[in-house]
Amino acid sequence: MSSDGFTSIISMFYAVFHPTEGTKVVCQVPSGSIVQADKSKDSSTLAVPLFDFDSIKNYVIPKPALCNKLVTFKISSYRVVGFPVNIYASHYARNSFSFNLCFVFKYEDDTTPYEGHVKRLGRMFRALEEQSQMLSKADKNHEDFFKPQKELEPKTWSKTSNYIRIIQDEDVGDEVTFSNQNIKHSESSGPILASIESLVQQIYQDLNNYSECLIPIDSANSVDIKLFPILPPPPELNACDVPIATVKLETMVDPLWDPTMVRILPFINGINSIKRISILADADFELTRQCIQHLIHFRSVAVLDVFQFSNCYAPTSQICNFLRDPIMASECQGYVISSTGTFGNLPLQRSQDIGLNQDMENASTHSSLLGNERSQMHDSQHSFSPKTNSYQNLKSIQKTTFVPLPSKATLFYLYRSMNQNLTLRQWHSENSKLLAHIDIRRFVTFGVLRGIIYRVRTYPVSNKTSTSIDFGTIYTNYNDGAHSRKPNYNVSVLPVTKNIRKFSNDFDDDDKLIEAAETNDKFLDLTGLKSERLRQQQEIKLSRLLKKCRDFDTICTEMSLPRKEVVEMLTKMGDWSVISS
Amino acid sequence: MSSLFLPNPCLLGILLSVSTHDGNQLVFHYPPQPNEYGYRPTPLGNQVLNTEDDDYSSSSNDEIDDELLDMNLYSIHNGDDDYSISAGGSSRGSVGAESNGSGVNMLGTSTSSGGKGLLGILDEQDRKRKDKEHKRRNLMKNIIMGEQVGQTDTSGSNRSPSTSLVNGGVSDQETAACKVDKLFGFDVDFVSELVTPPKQLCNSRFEVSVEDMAFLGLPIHVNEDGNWRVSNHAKSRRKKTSRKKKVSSSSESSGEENESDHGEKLTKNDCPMYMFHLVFVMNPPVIEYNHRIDEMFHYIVSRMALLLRYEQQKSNYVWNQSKLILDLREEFSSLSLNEQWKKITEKSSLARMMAQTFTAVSNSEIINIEINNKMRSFQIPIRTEFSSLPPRHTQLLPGSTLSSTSPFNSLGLDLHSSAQTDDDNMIHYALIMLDDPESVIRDIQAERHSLIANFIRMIKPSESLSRLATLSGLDIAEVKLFANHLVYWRRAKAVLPLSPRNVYIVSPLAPLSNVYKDSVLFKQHFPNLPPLANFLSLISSSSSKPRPINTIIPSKDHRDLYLDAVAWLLRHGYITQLQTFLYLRITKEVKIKVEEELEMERKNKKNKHDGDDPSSEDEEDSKVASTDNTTKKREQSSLPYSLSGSAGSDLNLESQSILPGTVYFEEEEEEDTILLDPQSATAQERRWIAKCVEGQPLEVINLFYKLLKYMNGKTSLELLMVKENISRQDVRKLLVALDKHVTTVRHW
Repeated sequence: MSSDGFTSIISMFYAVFHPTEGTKVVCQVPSGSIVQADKSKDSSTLAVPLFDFDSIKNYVIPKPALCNKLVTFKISSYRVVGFPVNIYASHYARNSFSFNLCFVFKYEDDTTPYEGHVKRLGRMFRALEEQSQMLSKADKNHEDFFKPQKELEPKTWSKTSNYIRIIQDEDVGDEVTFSNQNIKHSESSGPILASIESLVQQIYQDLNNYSECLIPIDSANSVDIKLFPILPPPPELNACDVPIATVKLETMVDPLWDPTMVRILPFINGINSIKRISILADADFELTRQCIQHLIHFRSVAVLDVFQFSNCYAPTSQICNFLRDPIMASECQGYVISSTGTFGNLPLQRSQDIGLNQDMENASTHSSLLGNERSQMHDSQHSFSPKTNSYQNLKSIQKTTFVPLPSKATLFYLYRSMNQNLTLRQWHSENSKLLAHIDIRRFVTFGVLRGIIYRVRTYPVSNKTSTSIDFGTIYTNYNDGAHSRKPNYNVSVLPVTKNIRKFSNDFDDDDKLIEAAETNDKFLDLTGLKSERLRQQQEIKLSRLLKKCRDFDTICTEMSLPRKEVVEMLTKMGDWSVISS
Repeated sequence: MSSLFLPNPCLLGILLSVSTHDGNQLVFHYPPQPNEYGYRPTPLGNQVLNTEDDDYSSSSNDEIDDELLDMNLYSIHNGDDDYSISAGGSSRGSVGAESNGSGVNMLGTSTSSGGKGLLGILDEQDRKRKDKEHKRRNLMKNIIMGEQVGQTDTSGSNRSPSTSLVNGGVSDQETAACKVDKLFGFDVDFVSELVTPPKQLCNSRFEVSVEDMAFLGLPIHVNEDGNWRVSNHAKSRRKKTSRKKKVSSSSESSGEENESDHGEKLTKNDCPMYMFHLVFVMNPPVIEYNHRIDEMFHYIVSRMALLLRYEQQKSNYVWNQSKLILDLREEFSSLSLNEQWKKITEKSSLARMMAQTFTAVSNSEIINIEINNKMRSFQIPIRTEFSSLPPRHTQLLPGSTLSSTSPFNSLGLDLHSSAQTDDDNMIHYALIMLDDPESVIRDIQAERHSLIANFIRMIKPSESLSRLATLSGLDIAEVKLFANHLVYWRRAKAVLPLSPRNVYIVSPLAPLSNVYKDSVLFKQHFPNLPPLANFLSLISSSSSKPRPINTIIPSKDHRDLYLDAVAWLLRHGYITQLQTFLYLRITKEVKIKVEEELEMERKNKKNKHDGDDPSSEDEEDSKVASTDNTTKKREQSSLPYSLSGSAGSDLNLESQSILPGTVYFEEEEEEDTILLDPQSATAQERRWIAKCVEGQPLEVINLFYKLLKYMNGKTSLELLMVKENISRQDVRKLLVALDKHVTTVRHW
């Protein structure tokens, strides 16, 4: 592994197909890693090659069918990644020239960051060779690769007949040895050969040491590589997900950034949901969501849930890590302490804690767009907005007090005392003494991000809907004949469609109801009618969400209503209950 | 985020190539016309699923299609139908894969289709892509949702491919093509050359990838001595010096070997084949490449190759079958491709095996093949048990369970570490059958009244394995082995024995989006219980903390019914058991008291021998004492923490700056400590522990010391009670008496 987590290159080699000698390694780094090298030339030569080159010859320089594609293969415990290139041209000795620049990695390692570059390098070399025979001429005996000058004339006919070409190949073979001796002294091609060898050497060293390289080849071409990890695509996000920065995003802004990204950045604070961010930043929701996904892709943002005092959290099986991980607890101490507790920064007396909880609840229930004043205040407490500082002046306590740091055992105790049925509000009032100097929101954030607690989501389910589905049984029974082959507990083959149709019928009925209501209420005034219609539309929306079994956060965000109103609507619509999971 | 938990076989085809002295030959491949998808990778499983339309009205159409397709999928081999649609060319395949490849370009996809002249073409491509995506999604959905279909479908495993191939033939458009020229875009001859490595590469993992398409196999080369396997005989001869005595133990098998050696010698002359290679062609998603290749090789490719090698050694199976297949291909060369394939798979067991394997693997089912009248099963295990909550947004199979203690958790799933299961605890677990017992018995071909069949019928979620062993009269080791098998082969799930006193919560992994769908099933099973949604609501909404299940059971008569329902919910992953884990907490007060006592002792000591240097001893003691992380390290932390009112909301801790009027945090000199491993406590810690139980009644103290080694947060109290045979009352007494010191944590 190199320093940045990329797997390192074990070896690199450049192989060509020699007209007489067949596939051979022209240069290799480190020396001796692929084929035995002359020990006298380089003292650092490896004594034994990594693997038997002869057995993979056919994969290094494969038949043309496999050329110009990324080809990787396993040999002993290594993976060789290469891009074999085959160029047809009549001026070559065998009418074609084949080469491959291969990278050798450990077999188990992840080579994906390199693959694109290997391909690109291969293509570039191909182009260079086609333009100026840079590779073929680099060889000391590069004449081997070409037809002798006098043979060049009849190329037109040599192309047309296979038979003749074969004959000619053999001829060339003979002549090569001959011409070899002739021209040997005429040119000194040393420097060019060195350039391939040194190029490979430099790529090898730069990529292993710096994960990038910038090597000019000639005035127009250069080998510029920077390794990037291939990361899995980010998850699909919901409107109610709350992003929180894990790095200092504001320091990374660059004038070329996407304008939406720049716009939404100040609102990413671990409090605002994506939907709310898009509203606050006046940005398109879809774009906002994609921006956040980008940030997640590059691991600079993590996702939380909407913080509310009605939320429930419970420990996961990872909670033991809080004790076992040597740094997690002290990180937690540093992150959650707050001189004034959770509500300290609010212009309220501490003695009103209980009443305050109630207020907080209403204030932060939501992600609704109409964030009321107080929740704004609360939000700004930790946001990057400049407003924050003004508050400092309000509070002019100049005394210095010493407060015991909440111990690790205390923090652990606080985490473990959460459970699936305890709302944060209840939990806070039970532990308010211990929480005096702890910011609950940060406490929860820390726990969720480190996976030691999880958010228990609450899903409203309509009893009506489930009974209406229960009528679907008739259909299932009726259809049982077709499905009898399937076992009883097979979920997937159940006729979903029917149920869905049923739902959509429900919607149709609803629509009809609206129409009916409209016709009946004609004598009512227009505004009343409008609000009535609005309400009914909301109800339809809600019932759809209900049928999809979404949790309260999602529903509130989708409907842009506080939970209280959603609950009211649900009650109006009929029997419902809550599942928390 | 990762979709590694979802099955994604990404198998394109299976090839069989043999080498004889006349050259290489591609004997058979399945499916008849595989598609190479332009050498592009398969999209990730979660991407495919995520593209699902959120809107109800528009998705209802899809759903109908889904159902139609679902019905067909069982008859059409997705390999034939699904793939042949895009068999036309790599260009189309690449268009499709471009946008759902590795997901690098996300912002671009929606906006990239500009340019008016191209609009028509793009629309067309878009439509085609959607079409393909849709098909692919259906396939994935079928794999994922229908997971349990495969295993429960008793006829499925033994389904003969011939019936399905009839359908394949109907849907085939290219009946004219009766000779295969190209495979995966290469000449057939070239493919066989490609998968025929030189001898040095044989008998070890073979992998060649072309762009994103991988050829994976284990080429088997005949040995120098003409044997296919390295026989025990030869081995023992080689190691004669060291293992002289061991030969006798393996005499049985080596005798068999000798026999087959003779057989081999007889047939050697009519077996010109010196190598065969069963190659799996895959196109795994880029970022999952290594994982998918590894799992395929480990679970299927290598095992199958070794099986073939065994059969080849024994009866020249591979060569005989290859000859047969080649003859058949010659004979039927006038027929259409699908007819040919149908006939061949009917007549040759090797060809049939390949076809069955392909079908089963591409549906992520268990492969059941029969070679020489012996049943063999292979599978890529599917992860449905998790010890910790996977990150949110991770796609899992519905019905996945959470348990940090289950000894079956890592069962065969870890590729690299040898799975050491905690055998001792296993016997205290019970099994929930995922399948009808009778069909399981049928599938494993056990006799109807054999011990094993009776054992399977006896399995109940409320009886632990150790109890089942006594009830059935089977040996406990046998029972364990059998339980392992049932779990591994997706027939059962392990849970702690059901009891009305257990606490269950609605699992964070519960497939709640299926709740209305499953409601129907639930109603069928439990007509007298409240509907599923209400039932779950009952379980999840008690006041202030989760309570044992018996709080919702109205009367004793309802007990069994409710427990059955609980078993049903566990099986479907709706609920999970909440278990209690113990930690030992040493309070400040205890520490101070112990400190005082030590001080006293030291003084006494000092008075006795004045020569000792007590301070250094003390120093050492305190260093050793900190075996856990909650104990404050003495060296550090003289600097008090300080915090201003406006620390950034990011996670950076360095952003704290000291402002006027801030509160300083300082660490207290003594604070509570939680011991991580009381069993290996230091001298000082032992004194603390002793102090904790001081003055308690003897029975509490005894129980405390009995449980002390488990107070490390690793073993659940529920398991302990079964294991150590402790009653609930005693435990409760202990917990009440030592309320201050024994900290309980409840999770799964």
